[in-house]
Amino acid sequence: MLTLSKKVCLLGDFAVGKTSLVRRFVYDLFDDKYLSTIGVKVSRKIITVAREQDLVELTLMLWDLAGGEELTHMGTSYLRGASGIILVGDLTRPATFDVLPRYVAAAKQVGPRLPLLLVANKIDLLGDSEGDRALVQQVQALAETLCAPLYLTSALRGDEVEEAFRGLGRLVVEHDA
Amino acid sequence: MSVQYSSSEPDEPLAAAGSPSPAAQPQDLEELRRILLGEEQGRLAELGVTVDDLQRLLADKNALAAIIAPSLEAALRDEIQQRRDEMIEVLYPIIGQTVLRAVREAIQDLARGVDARVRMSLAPSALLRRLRARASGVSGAELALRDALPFEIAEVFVIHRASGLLLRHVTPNGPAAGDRDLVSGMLTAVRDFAADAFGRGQHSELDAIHYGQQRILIEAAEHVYVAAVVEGIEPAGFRAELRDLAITVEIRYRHLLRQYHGDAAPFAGLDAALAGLGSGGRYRIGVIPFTGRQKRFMAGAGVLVIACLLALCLGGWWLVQAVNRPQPTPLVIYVTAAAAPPSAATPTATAAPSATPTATALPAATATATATALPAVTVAAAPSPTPVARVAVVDVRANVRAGPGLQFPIKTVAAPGDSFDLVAQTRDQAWVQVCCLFDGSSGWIAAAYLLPVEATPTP
Repeated sequence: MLTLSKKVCLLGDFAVGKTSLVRRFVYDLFDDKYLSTIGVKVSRKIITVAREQDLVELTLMLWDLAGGEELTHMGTSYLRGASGIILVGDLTRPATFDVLPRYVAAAKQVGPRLPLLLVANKIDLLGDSEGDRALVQQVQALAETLCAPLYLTSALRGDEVEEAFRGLGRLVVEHDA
Repeated sequence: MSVQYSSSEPDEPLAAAGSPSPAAQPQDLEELRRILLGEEQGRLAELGVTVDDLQRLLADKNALAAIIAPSLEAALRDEIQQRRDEMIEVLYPIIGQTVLRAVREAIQDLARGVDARVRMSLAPSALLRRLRARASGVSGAELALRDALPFEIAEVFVIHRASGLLLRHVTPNGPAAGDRDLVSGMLTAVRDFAADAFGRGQHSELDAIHYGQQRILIEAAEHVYVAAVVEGIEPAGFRAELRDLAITVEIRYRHLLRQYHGDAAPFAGLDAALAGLGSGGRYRIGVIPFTGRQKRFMAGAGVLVIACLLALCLGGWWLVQAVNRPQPTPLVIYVTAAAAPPSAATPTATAAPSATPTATALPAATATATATALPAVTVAAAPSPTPVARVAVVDVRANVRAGPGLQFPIKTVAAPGDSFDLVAQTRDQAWVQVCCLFDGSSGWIAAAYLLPVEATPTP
């Protein structure tokens, strides 16, 4: 079985749940304090994905970047060498999705054809109201605009988190092929 | 009047004039096409082949690079010659810093070398160092440098520069630990952070991290960097060796590194180079393997050490045996009378272990100028009631021992002029037993320090 390692960056505003998503299923070695000191923390997630007729053991090196109103120059330097991007928004704060195109623009500067994946987090806090359904539809529209698969996740309950990482794993491996 | 063009109209008059039948018309058209367009079709086919070749060439980037490179090199050479000043202006910030760093390292290396040599010349263990140098196959000066600057490589990382993905990791404690992947990523993040926070547009990079006794020394090439975790002060030239390693990796794997896809397996070939890192292989990671010469020397030294140990054991055994061996009981001749002349002494009986008691005269005292024979003695089992001979110590301080021999402990020291009753003497006349000492006991004094004095009657 082929063994590959890929760098994947998580981008999104403050408190959208990037670190919670990472913490739920990955192997952590370093403390979260690195996020506030040097603006990044590296974690690892190993998954197995299919590529054509073979299986690939894929080591995702997840770079959890400290969020901000916009990606700083320091943040873009952390994006170098990335094979995929996970964009994270908070369903309880629709504004966190509005800024995602800017993150995408920064990512495209590093790699114009980087595979993207959109994660709408905190689905557990969303109700069944008309407004909530409309928000989900808007997020779906954004995902289509960005050409990114959408995952509605809950880091709290674990909904779709594993699926999201596996989805990105498939994207980066297919992008390689 | 309108004219209608159709494909059949022009052919009808021709057919009527005995031209080829309608079945032959397509062939005629084909012939006509060949005559009119044959050259163009040939060129079109050639162009198709050329386009196919170009597409294959574009797909093979290495072949394309090989074709373009000569032209590019020539163009660049001309450009540099024509715009030399501008090129220098552009390249100076990069080359200047590289040169400055190299000069700084050279000066540091020189200072280390001088310091080490001074220490070496003053060290008291020069002989030991020479032996160690011979054993390790390096010169004494090099070993002195090594001693003066203790240095050990704990780990070596080879990391993809952009992504921070670990390409290879070597440590003396077996295979790479799993979390080295994360260390590699964070190290890259720290490098990026330092470059962004403190680089200020310069082309400089983080090249060392200090923490306690350990340091991470970093040397980078275009797509890869090498980080060595070391303890102590690196020897002269280690930095350059690290840089050479980074460049070697860059050159050997440039095709993989340019578009690294995450497969680190091809980099397994680096293990030998990584294990040999450190001043031309002198300070290897982990256990230092010996060369053939070193092995022979070590084998010889081992045999020598074993031989010395055997000799020591044998010597110790002999010493123990000699100490524990029962001392031969000196033949003791008890004095029973102070008869004179010595020749008149009559042997009677003996309690000494000697089988043949013999009356013997004491030797002449050599410590004094006067050589006088001690009184003759008679061997007896018990003291005789007759007056006993007396001896006095000549003008030296004589040790009084517990037995007739130097191996016996000293009981006291007799002063010159001290006189004692003569109790007995050894058969070889070397030692004389005297009585009585301060505590009433008897002791033995070398006969050479005694002179006979007037005997006193005993009750």
